[in-house]
Amino acid sequence: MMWEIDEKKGEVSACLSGRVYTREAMALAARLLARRAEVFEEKGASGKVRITLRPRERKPTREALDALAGDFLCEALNQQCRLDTARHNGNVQKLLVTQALYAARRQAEAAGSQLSPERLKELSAEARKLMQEAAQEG
Amino acid sequence: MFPNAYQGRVGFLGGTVAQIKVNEAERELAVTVASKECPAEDVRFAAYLYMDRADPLIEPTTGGLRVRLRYRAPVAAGRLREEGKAFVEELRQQRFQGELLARNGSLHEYVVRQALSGAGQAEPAEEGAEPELSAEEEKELDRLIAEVEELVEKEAKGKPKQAEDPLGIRATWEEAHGEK
Amino acid sequence: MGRSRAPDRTCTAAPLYSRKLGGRHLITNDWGHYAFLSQEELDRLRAGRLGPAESRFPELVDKGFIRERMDFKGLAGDFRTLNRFLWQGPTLHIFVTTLRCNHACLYCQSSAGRVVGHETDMSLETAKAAVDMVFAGPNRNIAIEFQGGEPLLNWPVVRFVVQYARKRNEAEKRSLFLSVVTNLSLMDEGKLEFLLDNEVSICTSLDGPAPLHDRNRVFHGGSSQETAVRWIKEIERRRLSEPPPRRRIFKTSALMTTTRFSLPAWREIVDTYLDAGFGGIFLRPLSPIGYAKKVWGTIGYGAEEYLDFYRRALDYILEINLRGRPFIERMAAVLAWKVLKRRDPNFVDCRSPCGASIGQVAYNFDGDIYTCDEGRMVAQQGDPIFRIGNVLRDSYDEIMASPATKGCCMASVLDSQPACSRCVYKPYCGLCPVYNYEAQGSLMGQLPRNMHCRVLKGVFDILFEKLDDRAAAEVIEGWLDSSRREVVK
Repeated sequence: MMWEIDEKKGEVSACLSGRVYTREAMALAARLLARRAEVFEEKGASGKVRITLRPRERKPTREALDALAGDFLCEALNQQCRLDTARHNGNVQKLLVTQALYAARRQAEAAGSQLSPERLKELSAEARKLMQEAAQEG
Repeated sequence: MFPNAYQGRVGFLGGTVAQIKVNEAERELAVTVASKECPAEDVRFAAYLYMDRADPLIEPTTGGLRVRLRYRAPVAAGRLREEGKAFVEELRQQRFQGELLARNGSLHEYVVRQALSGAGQAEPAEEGAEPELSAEEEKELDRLIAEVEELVEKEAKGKPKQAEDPLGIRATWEEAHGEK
Repeated sequence: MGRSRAPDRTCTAAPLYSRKLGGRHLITNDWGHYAFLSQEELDRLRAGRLGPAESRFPELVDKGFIRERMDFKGLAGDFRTLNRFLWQGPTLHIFVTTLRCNHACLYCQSSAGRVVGHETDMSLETAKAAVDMVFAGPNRNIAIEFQGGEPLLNWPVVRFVVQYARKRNEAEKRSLFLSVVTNLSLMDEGKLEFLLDNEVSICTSLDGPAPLHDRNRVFHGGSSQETAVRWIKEIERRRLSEPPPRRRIFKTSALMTTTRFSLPAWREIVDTYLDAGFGGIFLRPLSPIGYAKKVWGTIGYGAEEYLDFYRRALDYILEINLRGRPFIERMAAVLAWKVLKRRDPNFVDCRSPCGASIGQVAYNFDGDIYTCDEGRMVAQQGDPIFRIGNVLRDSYDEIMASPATKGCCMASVLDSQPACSRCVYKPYCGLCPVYNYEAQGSLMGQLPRNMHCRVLKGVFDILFEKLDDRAAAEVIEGWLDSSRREVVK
């Protein structure tokens, strides 16, 4: 089995190698599953880490423990692959995010639609008139 | 770990085998591959893609990695063997993608930077022109490509600068290309 | 700017993605180009043995697949065209004028409330502030879309927004498009005339034939479907009978939502749209967001079930086209627009980063602003994570700088996703952080186990399969010209 279930204690444990999964990945996975379970780690020999998951629900079934262990392993690998991806694409991601947010934050004035304060005031007054009409009819 | 289980070997890259073991009772598939055949990152990636059907655990072995996949749904008899072969094919695919990424990542970034800095208008092609390059021109082209890659790598190393000035707008020519 | 080499030089693969489809391999790159290769051609390209003497070589060079021949400037230009939205702010502004509704749709993402009472109506003050916020954005092209609940239940605010936005735009001189998404059950002559006079486009829901539509969209005032179809036909009658150029009347559009009950009725659904006179249909999958998440067990389905439905319906639609009647499947048309024209179709659901805040914004009845309508649905269930501000308290800059805006932007860049970063559909695709959050508990999600990803991948598989078939490809290419034309007088 890829993990050990202790039904009596209501826990499931798996060993992950520090040579394959960084601690950061394991920690991120633990954080994401924190609502469902308490997560404990024990350092083992040869860079291994023993992760134990104890569901927050009382008296979890064997199937629930099975599913929880599987979900943790999936999330740990998901996070590790994200970290791997960031090493290659981190710069491109930052460039695209910066560009997208910068473009969205340019104010209307910077885009060239400059209404004078007087014109804005006039428009506001016209809006008030429309609002009054709407309130009366509504 | 795999009593009474199927064991098979599949030709991988360059003739070296990947070992496949199945345990139908546990719905578990294990594929072992040497690190020199497939880097760890690409192995992780292939296992990651199989998360749609199985829970993955990757363990180091002597000189390689073993990917264990526990299938969530029941698997038809004999099917795990085929899944193993398909997974080896996926490893092959991801190794190729990994190589492409390693070789071309800087080019990808360079073109994106060019696009964001507005240098993206293609020049119209001249009618009927398809000039052959001389040996000197080819050397010059190789040098240019290498220079571009070096530039991108240099900028990537200077992280604080990256955060403040991702397009390198504030860098002087010397800072960007090195003193002549 | 092409370069060529002496014939004996090998050429290696540029950055590209690949996937086996049928008997061939599809390759794509971040500049939006694609090609189909045989196994042998792909192997030679990978090994650096697909050189200048090969017949495919010029095509692969032009498309940026050969590393030593990359035209950096040209490819950068291609990237800009495909991702034009990166230089624009939000286009689409959704005004949720009320949560009240006179329908009780099974999947309702609006989590509609009662019909009576005004506590969930947008006030005029809030509406004015929202319009001002719209014009604070930088985009020259603005679309204001009324949604709800049923927006016509708060008619005074709908009318005010139309009038004020038009007046404001006389000064701003932008391209302003107005639309209302309504079930049409409250439409009357006065409202219709106002909407047509002010060139407001009308969009409704049409899930299929009456038994299916009425089962999905429960209306105690009669058949929801018959009411909608009656008004669709009336608006079309006016559109065709009025002498030009009195006013610009848009053809009514319709949205179809796929529930479990829709899956076996693909032919009947398409026929309903044909009979109602539509020129196309958007075969939208349902997402387990907001209220739909609660009832997913009753109305939902898996990715493979949806893809089977989609394939059958698309095949039927292509058959209709080949028999001589033009009829568009809009999801295929939008994606094909990106693939074939390599241009951004302004579809906020399928881009990197996604349109959350930076492409669309949703203004709730109480003035709270959200990254998108789906984000607003999540808040309706008690989780305000996608809230980016309030029209009465925050400035435009503040909402664009909010944590939710930044978080969604970063989480939806496909280069940061492991699955997407090596996916053949990356140049054309997009993900939804709201979906990921609702279905998988985090903005990033876990894409191999993500139904939204599986569905999109499946649709792309089907689309590329069709593009590799000459007859189907001709039909789809024909859609690209007609789908972008406004069907107006």
